[in-house]
Amino acid sequence: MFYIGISAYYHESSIFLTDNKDTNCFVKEEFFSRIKGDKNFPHRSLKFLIKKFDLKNENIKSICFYEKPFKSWWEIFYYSIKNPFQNKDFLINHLKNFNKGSIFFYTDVNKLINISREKIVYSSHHLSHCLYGLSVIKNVSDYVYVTCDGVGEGETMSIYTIDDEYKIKKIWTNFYPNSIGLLYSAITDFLGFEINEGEFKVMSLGSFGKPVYEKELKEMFDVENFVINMDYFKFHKSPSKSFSKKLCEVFGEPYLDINEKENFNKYADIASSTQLILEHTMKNLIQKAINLSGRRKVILTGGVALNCKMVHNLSKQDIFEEMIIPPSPGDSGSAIGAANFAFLEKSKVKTIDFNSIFLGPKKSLINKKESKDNLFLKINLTIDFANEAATKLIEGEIIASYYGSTEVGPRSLGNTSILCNARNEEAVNNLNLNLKKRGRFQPLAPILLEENFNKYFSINKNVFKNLEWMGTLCDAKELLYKDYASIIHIDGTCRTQIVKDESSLIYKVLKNLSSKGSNILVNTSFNISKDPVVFDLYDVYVNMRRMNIKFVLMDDGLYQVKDI
Amino acid sequence: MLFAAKIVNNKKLSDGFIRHALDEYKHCFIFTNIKNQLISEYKINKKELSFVPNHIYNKGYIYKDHFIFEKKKLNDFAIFVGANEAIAEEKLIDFSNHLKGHKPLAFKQIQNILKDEERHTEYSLRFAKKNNSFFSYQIKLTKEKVLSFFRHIYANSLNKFSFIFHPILITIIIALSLVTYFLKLKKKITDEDVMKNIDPNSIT
Repeated sequence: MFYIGISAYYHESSIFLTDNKDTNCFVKEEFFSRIKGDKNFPHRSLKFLIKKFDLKNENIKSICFYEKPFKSWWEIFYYSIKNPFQNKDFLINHLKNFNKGSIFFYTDVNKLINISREKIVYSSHHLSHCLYGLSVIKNVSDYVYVTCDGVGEGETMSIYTIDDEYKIKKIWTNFYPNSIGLLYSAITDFLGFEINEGEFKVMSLGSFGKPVYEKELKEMFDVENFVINMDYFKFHKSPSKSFSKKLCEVFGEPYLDINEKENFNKYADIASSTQLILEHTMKNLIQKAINLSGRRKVILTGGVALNCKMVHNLSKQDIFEEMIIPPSPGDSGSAIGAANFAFLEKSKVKTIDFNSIFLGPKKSLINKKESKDNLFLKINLTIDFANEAATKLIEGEIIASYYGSTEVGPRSLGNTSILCNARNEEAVNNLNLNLKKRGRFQPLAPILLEENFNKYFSINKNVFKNLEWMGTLCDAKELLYKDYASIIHIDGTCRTQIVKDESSLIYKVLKNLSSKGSNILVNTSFNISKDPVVFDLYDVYVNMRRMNIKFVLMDDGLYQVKDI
Repeated sequence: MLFAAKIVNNKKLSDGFIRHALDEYKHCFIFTNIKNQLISEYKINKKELSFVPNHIYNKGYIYKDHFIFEKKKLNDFAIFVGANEAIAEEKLIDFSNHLKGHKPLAFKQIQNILKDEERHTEYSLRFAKKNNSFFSYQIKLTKEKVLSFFRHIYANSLNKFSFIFHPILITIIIALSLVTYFLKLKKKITDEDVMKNIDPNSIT
């Protein structure tokens, strides 16, 4: 019997299916529609799962939506309708979207599967985040669960505890509009980046500036009491603009071209100040969670947790014993939390057993065998193919990888990646600027064997676990500056991934690479900026042609793209 | 196109769809470059010209629950592609004429796109002609051109359409604001047993 969790209508739509035995399958709608951040009901993903697992009413235990649809719609409407004339633009837009939203979740599901109504259940937004956190730990009662995002069902921050019998307590909540996530998004908007997509660019940009606007931002958000000053914001008034004229009086003109040096420096200062305010807020929130729960191990989820620079800076402040941010802490990962809710709701005393962070479908489930033969030439299918790939990397080749199970979070962890030798500066810059078309202020991430980590990097052990999925930054040591300078961000940090699993293909490639004089690869997601990560072999082929990448590592060998 | 390449059984056709998809990606890259040039030259607010992928659903260019290739037969799909490529070609000629005098490089790039579009139209319509009777072909082609015309009108008039409903929505908002004025909803800051207190079948 399958449990299905669905997250949709607001951010990247996704579905997670599990039988809590051998089958786990996490897919995002953008994999199929090829529209980055597709937020519509995941029709295509659900069709894929129906076909692959023969889903029908009889073999589905529960389908769980990750939040309460009406509550989610109502809570922000209720805030804005207190001043209907001032907020009319927002309210009109919100009303118009009523029928496009999750209220009709059951109808949308029923169009594809004829399912009994009692099998449809609804979790709660922050509870789904919290329950996803359980996927990366064993002793649930050791941790306090902190969630922080823009807004979900009118809540912006929540703190939970769970005991060994899975009794869940919510011990504190903060409410809309007091949201550090929405403040960060408003600044993202001000700086000219897309909300829900550009926040990581603000984080990177901040490293180039100084927090000279700290005082002004503290006027906008009380970091001790988590209260926002709405004079500076408009997200409750306007569907298209999230900051007010008053914010422009402080920071000047929005949407300037950051390719001009003067604008770049100013915007970097704003980004740096915003980052600092976020870090102060999160420090206080985690401190509050520790004080209220008496537990010093923290699981942090919600979109704000994707800010790995914040995680890195908090790790140095000796607030917690351990902090873990699961690989997909945002709404997309909440599909897994929702499935966990459905399971816990039936079992009462246990949750799903997760034994891997790679919860996406295996590549063999996605593709037909003949697709591979049609699109790719076999280069090396012997046992030695990882060695040949390492040789090509040493020679300066940029190689794609497409094997194993698909990753869950926004970061590719080797299974669906583009790799190059981090020692080869020319290859690194070519990959970043020409192939991936990223901004010059966004560095690429390194990947290396765990055994080599301490040679090149340092990190506080309280966040070490997050290195398995690039959940935090770490500091570069001198040796890294000597040999791998091109992967170091301006502030001396790197978003490093360590590899522990000796059976994984990336482990073998890195091991061979070490014997040839390099210990580190650059690992970036297999897509071009603003496109979704590749899903099937056709996406692989088209993206390789677009980026002019010749070779791809697959489960059974090294392949070269055909010219068709 | 990419989706069509994935599911069509004929390898030659699949390869053709892939080549077409690669051309479209190339065109997209060229348009983005031209857009960026215009933004920097005329100091345009880049937010005004930013492309939001999800908006193509709202504008009715693609469907939320299926691809066009899933709903049309291969012959009809060829006519759909041919008709729309021909329309795109006409629009591109107009656009390139605007650029001719002051943007020679962009003009040249658009001419390259035009060559691709011409080829796409020719291939698609040749295939459709071969597999449809003369009358059926003409009727279907006209139908696709008319539909495309209305699709563009719809996409370009979304804001205007929405104003028609504004008075109704404002009336609803006023009515709801009166009701909610008297509502005093309490919020729970803590919950001693979340799983016990949540109703899993409720949407509120």
